[in-house]
Amino acid sequence: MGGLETGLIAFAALLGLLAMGVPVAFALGVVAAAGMYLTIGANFLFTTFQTTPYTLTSDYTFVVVPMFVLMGGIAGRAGIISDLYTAAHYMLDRIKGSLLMATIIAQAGFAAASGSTVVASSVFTRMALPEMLRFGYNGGIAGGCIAAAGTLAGLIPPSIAMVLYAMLTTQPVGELLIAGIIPGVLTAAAYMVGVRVMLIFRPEWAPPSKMTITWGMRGRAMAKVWSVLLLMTLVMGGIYGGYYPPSAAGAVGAAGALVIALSMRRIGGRDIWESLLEAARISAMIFAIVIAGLIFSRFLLISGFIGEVRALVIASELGVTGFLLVTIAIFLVLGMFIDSVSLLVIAVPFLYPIAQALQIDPIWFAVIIIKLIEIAAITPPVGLNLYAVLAAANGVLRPAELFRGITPFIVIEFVVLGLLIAFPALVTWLPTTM
Amino acid sequence: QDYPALSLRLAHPLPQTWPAAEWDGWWAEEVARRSGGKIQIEVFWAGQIGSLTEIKSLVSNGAVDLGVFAQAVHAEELPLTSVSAGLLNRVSASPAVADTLAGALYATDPIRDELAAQNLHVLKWTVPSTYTLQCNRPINSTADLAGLRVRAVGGAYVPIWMESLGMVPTRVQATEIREGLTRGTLDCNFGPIEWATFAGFETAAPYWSDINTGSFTTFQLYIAKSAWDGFPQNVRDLMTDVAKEAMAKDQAALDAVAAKAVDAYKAAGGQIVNLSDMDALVAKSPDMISIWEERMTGAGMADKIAPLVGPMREAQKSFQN
Amino acid sequence: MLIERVASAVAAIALAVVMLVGVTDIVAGEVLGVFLAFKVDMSGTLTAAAIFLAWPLVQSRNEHINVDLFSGIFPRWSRILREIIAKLAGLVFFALIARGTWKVALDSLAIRETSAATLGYPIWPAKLACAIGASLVLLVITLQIGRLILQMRHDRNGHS
Ligand code: NA
Ligand code: NA
Repeated sequence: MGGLETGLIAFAALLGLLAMGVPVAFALGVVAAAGMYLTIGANFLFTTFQTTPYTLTSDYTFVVVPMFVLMGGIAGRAGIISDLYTAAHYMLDRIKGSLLMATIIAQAGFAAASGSTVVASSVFTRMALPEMLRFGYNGGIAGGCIAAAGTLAGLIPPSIAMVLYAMLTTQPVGELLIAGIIPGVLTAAAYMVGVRVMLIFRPEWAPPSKMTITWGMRGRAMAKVWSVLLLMTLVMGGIYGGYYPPSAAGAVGAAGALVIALSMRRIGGRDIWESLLEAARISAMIFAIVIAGLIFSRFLLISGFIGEVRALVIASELGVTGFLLVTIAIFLVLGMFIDSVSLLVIAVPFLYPIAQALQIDPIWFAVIIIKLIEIAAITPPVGLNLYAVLAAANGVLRPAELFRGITPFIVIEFVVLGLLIAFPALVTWLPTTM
Repeated sequence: QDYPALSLRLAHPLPQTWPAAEWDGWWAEEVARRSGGKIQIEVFWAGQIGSLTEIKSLVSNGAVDLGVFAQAVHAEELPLTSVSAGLLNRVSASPAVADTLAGALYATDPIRDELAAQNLHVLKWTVPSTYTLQCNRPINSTADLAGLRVRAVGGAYVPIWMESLGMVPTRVQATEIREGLTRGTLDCNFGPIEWATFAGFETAAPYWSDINTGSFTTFQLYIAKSAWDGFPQNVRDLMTDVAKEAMAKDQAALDAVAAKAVDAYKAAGGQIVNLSDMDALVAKSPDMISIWEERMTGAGMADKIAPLVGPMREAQKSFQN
Repeated sequence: MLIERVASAVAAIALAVVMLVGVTDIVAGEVLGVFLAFKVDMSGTLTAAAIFLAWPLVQSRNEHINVDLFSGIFPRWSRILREIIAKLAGLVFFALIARGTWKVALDSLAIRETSAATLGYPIWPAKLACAIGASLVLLVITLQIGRLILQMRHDRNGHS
């Protein structure tokens, strides 16, 4: 059997197990294990499972993952995020759809303090969804907005997705993180414009709020936003200004969030403990998938699948545009079924060498890929952010409702993706100023 | 010649374009060519099927047939073998001497036994140009070295040498070196000039110090000994001969490769900074061989290192600054 | 279970240490010009230990990410069966990891492995912790499967 057939069978088995509800990490791991055993033998299988898990988890580059999660967890528990949301809400109150706008702005701000799109989606669901439902907003649009704006955490540094990408391709982490800032801000702006346009046609989705908000309330709310600005400076400024390498930014950010929270007397020993436990648990979930995905990608390589596909791509003379279109198509289709972290881990080791062969700018390609996996996180049926929203909504939001509500945001995402492809400088300019 | 049909896999930690890595590729292709296509070797570049630290286990366990890794990284499991890479300064001046030294050490019984115990047989080794400092500030005198954060490379002995001169050996991920040099979280990279320009450090570290710590073998091509012992003699001869040729071609090309790197470095604005008190540096530099002897004796391995000291002292004599 | 709580408590403490070491290194470096030589090794090994030791809790809470969207297309009676298959897949996955990590840990323990680059920093305790963490996951999954089988029997008896 050729590599192509082997790989296709493996993908079919993988999708079958996923459909049965087998966790992504287990499905990837078991299919890769069976595939290695059948194509290369037990030795390769056992040795890979011997060396990979410890090597990967003890890699210093990856230490930022639990630290970024910890930082977001502390910031969330200390109420730093709800301060931000309240401030955005009060400031934007006179604008149509103010709560949607506030959600987008506050998520963009929180994205600068959190590296995880899932954390962002679930935190904002608990905070912003009840508010929006209380004011009679369309639940699907409200949930969709939260899930979509949650993707900002993956673009605006700190970003776990960027760190994973850098690790998979040995790209400089700092430049990648900085390269995400402009596309992140652009995405947030596009959401706001998009929401505004949407509400021209369907004003009933966001009825005006009947709250009276005074300038005094606005002033007091804005005065509390310093904490997020400080955290943002600590992480982005530290990396951009060269005070510490990106790998250390996680620890500094987490400790910074802790010091801020303690100084505001908003956090107790119990919250700190819960944040640490949560960081351990979420990192354990992420690493299980990354380990399994890396092992799966090694199986695809050594079975000859990737070599044969690469040869096909090169022989078909797709060119850069063709390759990009194929890449987008792959992510769209796979992204419907596989969550973003797994997708990144599965697809990048296989697409990156082809991109290199085609001499595509690696930083730009990285941001396009991150954008694509963020889109995958909000495309039904399988989208990590959608699940985070549904889980945190505690039953007040039905899946079908959310899947409808997310659709306009997916359209906006594609507009932004088009802009990034048409104007690569949006991505590549900022890192060059470092 | 009648060769058996073999299909082998080679795990490589570096990209194919990395300086001198091409000779590993050449070796694989040449073995295939000279065996009339009977021996096929598929190379998996850039750590695709195992990262730098994983490849030793892959070869040792026979999970892949062949693998390139840096033995210096495995100082704990290969205490004897690793020093032929990890001991630097005043050991081997030129790549040619380092090349010969590595060959002489691999031929000693203690190292051969140590490798055999790990199911390893060394086929070829790569020796780059000498290790030097590329810094983001000029190193004019020995005193300038104090407090300098220098990237520490694999091996237990490099940090000792650095600390003896007041440098701060700093562990930095490969992907963060250039950023570190630019932003000042790292002062110097430490490595061959052709690696520095390959990684694009010339603008981040434009001051190239003439402190020369000598050369040593960095990456080695290993084969699982169990597989090796099972090959017919003609296969072993073919692989050994082609490896020798590959190493000779690599060494023959090295001067030009390094010169090209120096040109690229200078073209990007890099400059060579001469140390004003080289004598002081030489006087201050510890005798790494003695330090190593002391530590190994302390660990009860005096007998085992006895055959290694001679070739090392011999190589040391060639050192000139 | 107490045991996965203890394991995850150790994981939480390990992460707290990683944070402290990381920030101390930066502050001491910027202010005093002194850097912690063991920072890289310590952060890496403790993070590995934290991840492995958090896995038992993640498993016992069934938190590994899965795609439960297609459950509607399967007949109702297949739920427990599918859960058992998912657990068996996890058992295989973690058995392979545990097997490999015990080998890594025992090799490391045998030579009391320390870091090659950072003199004297001990590596073996973290590797041992990883092996223990992976083994605890196996224990958790086995108990989960046992419970599912009991439940399946109970359901069958109840319905027939
Ligand atoms: Na972020
Ligand atoms: Na999706």
